[in-house]
Amino acid sequence: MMEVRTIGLVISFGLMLLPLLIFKYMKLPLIKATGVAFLRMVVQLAVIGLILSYIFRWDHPAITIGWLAFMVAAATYTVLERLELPWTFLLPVVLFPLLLASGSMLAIFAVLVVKPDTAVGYPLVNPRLLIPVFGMILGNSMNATAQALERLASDLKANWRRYYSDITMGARPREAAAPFIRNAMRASQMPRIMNMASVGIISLPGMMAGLIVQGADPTQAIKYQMMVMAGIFVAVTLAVGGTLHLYVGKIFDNWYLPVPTLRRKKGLRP
Amino acid sequence: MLYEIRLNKLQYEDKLLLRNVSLDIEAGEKVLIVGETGCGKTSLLHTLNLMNPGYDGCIKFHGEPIKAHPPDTLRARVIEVMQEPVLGDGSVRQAIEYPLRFHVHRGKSFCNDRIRELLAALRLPDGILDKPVDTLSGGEKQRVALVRAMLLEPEALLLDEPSSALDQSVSAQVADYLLCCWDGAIIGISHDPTWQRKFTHTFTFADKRLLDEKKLQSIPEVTQ
Repeated sequence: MMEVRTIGLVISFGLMLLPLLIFKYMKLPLIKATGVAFLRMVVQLAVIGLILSYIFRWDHPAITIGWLAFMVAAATYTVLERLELPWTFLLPVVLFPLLLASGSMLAIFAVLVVKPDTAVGYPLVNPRLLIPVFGMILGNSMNATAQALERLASDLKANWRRYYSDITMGARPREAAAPFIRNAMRASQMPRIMNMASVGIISLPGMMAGLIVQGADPTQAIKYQMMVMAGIFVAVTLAVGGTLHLYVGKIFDNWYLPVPTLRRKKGLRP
Repeated sequence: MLYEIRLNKLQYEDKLLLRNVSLDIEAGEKVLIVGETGCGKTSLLHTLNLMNPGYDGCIKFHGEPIKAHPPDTLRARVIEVMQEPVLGDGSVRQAIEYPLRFHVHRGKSFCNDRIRELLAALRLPDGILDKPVDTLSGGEKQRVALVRAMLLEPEALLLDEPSSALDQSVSAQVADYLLCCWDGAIIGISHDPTWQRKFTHTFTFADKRLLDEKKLQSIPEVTQ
């Protein structure tokens, strides 16, 4: 196994001075932000590395599943933070689809695709498999969910008169919001579809790159990658679809008008 | 009775607009609401299709409180035509047929003869059906929206300044058709004297209350 030595790490950190010097030369006020981001990256990865090494060492199903649950909570929090609505309002809208979509995809992975060979004693809840795969599925679902909700909210605000016009002719909220729901789904899926079409030619996805660097056979690595990309796409679609469905059900009252929270926050008025 | 309106208070958001309003509207009646800008005419209109929840009192539609009607059913029977209507970005025909996709209008279809009849009544040429909506003038859009609303055969139309973008002669003809020939009720706001003369029932609001109610005994005559 190719190892990263401490001296190598120090040298690569030292190389970070180069972009900082360029920013300084350009009088670009990005030095502080870069420094903070770099520090956060180092600290976060160090902590995660430590935690993961313990989780892998203990290899206890309860601890592994507990960590997966923590990942869902963190993903939900990240989405809620990005949107401007009260979190009590959005929590169920974001949490349940994320949990169900990525959780069920992970379960299918663990049980069906990887086929743990119980005869040899290979455990179903294997943190070395579940945590990185879940991270990829959840991370993508999280970004797509936030993107879709932002898009739906901004489309609805920009096209408020169109929504209004439709409901005054008898449309139900889901009928009047249908074009915006479609746009939100499209906006969140387009980057992933493009990515799927171009993968492998220029960039090797992180998981595959990692496996290859670690000495895995590329034909084995691509199988993992294909499986993960399919899983990600399914999970993202389910999570976004579920979130949009719940969101539209929650933002309109019995008269199909925006609920007070939305009227205040987004300025949608009849 | 189409509407029985008994309001203690009418509000828009937190602003009090009208007090102690009592009015009745019969089926097929042509009702004009008059008052200064900001006196609550539009808000009153919007309580009738459940678009303004800010009121205290009771509004009955066919003897049942409007809140007991599902909003989609009520709004299919009482259609609002906006002053600057939204017609989408396709052709006029697409814009006209658009509401047919709503659940509440399932089973309805528009026959070409009826479409042509209504277009002609509002002085629009047949050929307009194939034109893209964004090439229409403001007055044409207003009339296309009126045609679309009438094709859905509602019991009443809610009109907020329906003639604001029409020129004088067309405006008079549109008013004649809507107020003297069309069967359904019309509850409208208009500052146009040509229109105002043709309504059969006028409610005037001032100082946050109903000031005056005037009812014509006979239907006004068609001018042309």
